[in-house]
Amino acid sequence: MDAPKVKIYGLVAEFETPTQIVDAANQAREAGYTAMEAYSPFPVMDLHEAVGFKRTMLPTLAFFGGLTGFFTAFTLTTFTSGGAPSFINPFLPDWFYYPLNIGGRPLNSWPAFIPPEFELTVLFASITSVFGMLLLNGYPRLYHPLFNVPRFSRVTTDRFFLCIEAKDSKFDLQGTKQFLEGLQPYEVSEVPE
Amino acid sequence: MATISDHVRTNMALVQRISFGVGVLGLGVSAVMIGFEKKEFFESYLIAFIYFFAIGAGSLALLMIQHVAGGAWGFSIRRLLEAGSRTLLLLAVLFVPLLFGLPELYQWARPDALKDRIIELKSGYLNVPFFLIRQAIFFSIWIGLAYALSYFSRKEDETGDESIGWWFKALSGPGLVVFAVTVGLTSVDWAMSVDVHWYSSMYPVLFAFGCILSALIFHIVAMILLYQGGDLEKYLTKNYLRDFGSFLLGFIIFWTYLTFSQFLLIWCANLKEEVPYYINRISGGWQIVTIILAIGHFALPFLFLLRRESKRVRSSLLIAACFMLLMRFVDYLYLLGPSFSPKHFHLPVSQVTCLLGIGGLWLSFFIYQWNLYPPIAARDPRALKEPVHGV
Repeated sequence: MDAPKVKIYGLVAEFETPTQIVDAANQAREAGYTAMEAYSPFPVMDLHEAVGFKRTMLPTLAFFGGLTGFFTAFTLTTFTSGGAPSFINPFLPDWFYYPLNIGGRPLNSWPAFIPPEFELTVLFASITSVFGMLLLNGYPRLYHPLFNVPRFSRVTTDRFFLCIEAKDSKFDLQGTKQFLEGLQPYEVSEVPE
Repeated sequence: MATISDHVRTNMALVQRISFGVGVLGLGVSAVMIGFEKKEFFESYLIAFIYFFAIGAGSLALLMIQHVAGGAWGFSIRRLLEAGSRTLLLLAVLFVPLLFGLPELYQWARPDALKDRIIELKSGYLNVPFFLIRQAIFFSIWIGLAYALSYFSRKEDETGDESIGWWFKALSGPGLVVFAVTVGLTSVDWAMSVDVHWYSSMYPVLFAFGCILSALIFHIVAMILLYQGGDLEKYLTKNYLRDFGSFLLGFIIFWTYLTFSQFLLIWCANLKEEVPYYINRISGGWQIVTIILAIGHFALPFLFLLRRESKRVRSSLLIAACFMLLMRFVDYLYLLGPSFSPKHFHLPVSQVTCLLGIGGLWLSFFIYQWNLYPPIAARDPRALKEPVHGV
């Protein structure tokens, strides 16, 4: 069999009604395909379950981003005010230890440190969410491979697309193409990477 | 027409009888204790009373919020909230015993109060006749609002007249403003004036919000337990539960924000009139309560409810809400306990009996009220729409 000259991202089938795409996705899932994604002009009931949508790791990333922010602020406030435990001092350079006396309060005034800790937790968690989302969406590539298929532009108006991706272990160009054609789509096209 | 399942109905009748018995017994034992420790009894009674008042008043606030804001979540627990708000009638009756203990509870109500210069300056507001007038007015307003909303609810059920929706909004919008003012002033009357020299502008907000938080927690528990089996189950789907879980998480964060802000401002200012309040709460054994509150009322539920599945699975949300019901008590103990016995941690026996007494009566009255109406407001305009939820 000839190896394709262009790397294939997957195969996309175009459907005309929401019912068709939900049926198609259900059949594809039952046939054992896992790496697939559906595209539609509006939210379609049950499609979510039909494609076997898996949640991303973004919440976990955001959690650890927030945790990093908390400890960054904790370290920053504690060390700049000289409130770190004294056994650490021998390990610090001389110029670093500069205790701040603020109104005679203890050096380790943790209640005052909580607002910056809170702020950095939120900041780091949101930055991680935004950039994590971009990375999980394939950044730095600035477009989705499906836009290589000219007909795909109709996804924002009146057509429904089901894409089975080449990374699926069950994917095989001829077999999958036949399978998709068996679902009576309007058209099946190859998606170049 | 949605109905309560037979299984739940049987259990509910049993719980109602038992809690009524426990209530009568608890209050009876507490009444005997007045003879031994009068001051202690009234202190315990006040804490227990505020704990259940919070659920009743918070139900009224949540009911008005959902009438103004709409949403599927509000529709699903509307009848629970109405039943909860009608318990304010019983709470008004349960408030009466406190009137006999005013001198025990409040320094400003004692005969020699005016010798204190600060109390003398505050006596224009903090005096017994005005206190009684205020409580009479406030309770009439709350009970009036609760029963008016239930009255229109019944009318809606009977006639299905769509113009009744206007009444809900017309009562709820201004009602929320009135609620904020009256509950805010009540927090000063009942709780803040125990430390009569002390004041905090965050306190009324914290108190009023504490009511809403208590009510939300109670109704999550009630909803999960009462909607089991039968066709009410459709309001216990993962998407509904996640709405309540997210509310709970958000409300817990806001409670922490308010509690901590009040502490931080007083800690930073470090003024002689303000700090004793917190010194009482971080010494003499009360610091344990403060730490339990920080961990149990914030850290644990926060981390637990962050997980998406904890909010969607019935059993885990139920566990979280039950745990929070306990923590609400710790919060009210922290609110008043250190002011009543500043130097040493003290949890009297009468605290347990008062809690059981008021709680037993309150719970049986709540179940009685909940049985008066069909469990779902079938002619609410929201009932016609099949709930469509984002995932």
